[in-house]
Amino acid sequence: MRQQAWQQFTQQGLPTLRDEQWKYTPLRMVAALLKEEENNVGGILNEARTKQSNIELQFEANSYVKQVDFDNVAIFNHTFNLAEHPLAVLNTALMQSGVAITIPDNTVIAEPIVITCIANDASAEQTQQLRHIIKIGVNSKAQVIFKYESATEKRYFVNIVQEIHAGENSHLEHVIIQEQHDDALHIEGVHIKQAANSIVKSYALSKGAKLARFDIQAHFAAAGSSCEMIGLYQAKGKQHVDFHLNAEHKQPHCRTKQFYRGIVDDKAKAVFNARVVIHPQADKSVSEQTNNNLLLSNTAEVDTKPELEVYHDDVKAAHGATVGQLDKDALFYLTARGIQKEKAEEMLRTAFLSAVIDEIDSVMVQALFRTALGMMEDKNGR
Amino acid sequence: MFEIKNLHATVDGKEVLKGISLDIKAGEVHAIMGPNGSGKSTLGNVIAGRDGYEVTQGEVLLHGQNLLDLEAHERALIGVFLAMQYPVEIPGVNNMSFLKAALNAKRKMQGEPEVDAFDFLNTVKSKVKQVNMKEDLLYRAVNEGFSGGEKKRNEVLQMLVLEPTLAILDETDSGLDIDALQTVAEGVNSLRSADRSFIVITHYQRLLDYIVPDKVHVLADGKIVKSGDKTLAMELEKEGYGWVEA
Repeated sequence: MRQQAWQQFTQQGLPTLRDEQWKYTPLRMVAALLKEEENNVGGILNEARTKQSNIELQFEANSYVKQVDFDNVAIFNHTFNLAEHPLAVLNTALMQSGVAITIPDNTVIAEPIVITCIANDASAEQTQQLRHIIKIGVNSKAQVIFKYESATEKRYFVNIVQEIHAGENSHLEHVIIQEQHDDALHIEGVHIKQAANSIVKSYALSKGAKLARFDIQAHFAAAGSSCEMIGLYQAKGKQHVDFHLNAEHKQPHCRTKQFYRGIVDDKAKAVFNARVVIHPQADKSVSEQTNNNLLLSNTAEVDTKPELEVYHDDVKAAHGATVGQLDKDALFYLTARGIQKEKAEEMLRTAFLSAVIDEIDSVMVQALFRTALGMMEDKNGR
Repeated sequence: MFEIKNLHATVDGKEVLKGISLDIKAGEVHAIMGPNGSGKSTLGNVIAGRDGYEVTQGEVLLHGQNLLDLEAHERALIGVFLAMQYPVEIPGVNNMSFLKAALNAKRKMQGEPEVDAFDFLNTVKSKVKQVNMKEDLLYRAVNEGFSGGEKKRNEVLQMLVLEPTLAILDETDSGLDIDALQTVAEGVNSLRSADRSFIVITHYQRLLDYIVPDKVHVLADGKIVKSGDKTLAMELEKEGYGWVEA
């Protein structure tokens, strides 16, 4: 499997800016790292097989959470089409570490399962490949939190693929908090396959890394499922953050909600591309897509494209995107009451992001997001 | 206490204030009336420090300190309050925490500790009653979805909490029914004191039936063209602005 994937990768290479799905995502830094590493180790493929990733995975191991068994090749690449994801091909060839979370049927896990992925100094100038596999059994419920952090200041590239199987009538809250240092390169594909009447809530926050690209995809394998994708991004300096969301409605009675907001400052760039396709057989589909951006400087840039393709009449679908600046009248209003300009700006930024955080079910996840964003203030002032 | 000396200001290069002078003693209420486009709101905004206006000449002195040297928030902290003509809606900023942040900013400047949460709640609740405002508006976002009258009551509530030295009411009466007008006026009157002054900007005389001014000035084309006592407002009501402009 690895050999085959490596062959495929060496043939097709990394996507280029000519590739529609990657045209806004500059991968030259990734390419440079890969090339250098290959020259250094001479046979990156053999290296990967024998060595664990230098991304340290911290979690409480128990009967539900284990390291992925990479010898068991039957468990990989079932929740997405490999041909559509060149970075997943690379990951298939070189994957080194990851967690396997398996929740049996009829099981409710009350405590959140927290996986902290920390890049250490040994990861410097290297590519790291993680593969996480999550299986939620029938009628089961769990909350899984992935935190990505850096314990090094050197550049590295981490390429992650998550495969999520949500069983019938299951409920999963899936959380990503990406707070790596500003020179990290982070690419992550989250591929969700949902059985009938399952609920998946994906909450993502990205504020670190030089390049952060997320592909979050929901595949509704049967009727009656719901997938919420709620997220926030912050980019400053020369950061590039990139979310590609996708939901294909091929089954009836499924619901998608995509709500992302981002703040972009300095010379940073954000890309938001969300696609919902409602096929002819997908009766009573419901889809809602919203993306709002705040630009804090003249040199910051946002490319937002919520795409909705509907091939059916009996659906409810809405989409919208905005790009704006801090409201000058609101700023004056706050300062005219004695609040310092910097503090007033912070209040408005916080207010902008709070609208997304309020959509998160879990109070604990809300608090994690607020902390990550430096929002300490009690929201209600009570 | 508050003095404006030969104030000239431009917007986009066009002069809108053409030499305004005012002298307001402590405890006085001055009304500024005038037709639309005469510069009334500009005057309020320039005093409060809104962006977009260029002061080309003159001074604005509060207790001898030139406000024009200060940022908008610094002016507020030394006691300037502008009740806005069009209070802006600020989604996501809770009305109560905004009020608290504003009050604490003032207390900090005065070297006082942050207000006790319990005391604050009680104070605010009593003032909410005073302006006859629905209490749940405190827990909503600032002005978001408020009716016109609720927005104006919210302005007066902020004024009551912040207890300014110089309060400027920019057409606070516009869009208010008679009940709301009286409530707003009562709020203002309750704050009247020997060390506090008011500038009441209005298009109509009716507010001045409730907030009785010590002086009335008529602004036309960026200049004060006539000053007098409260009877001037009544004359204006009868004769129209054509009478002073002519």
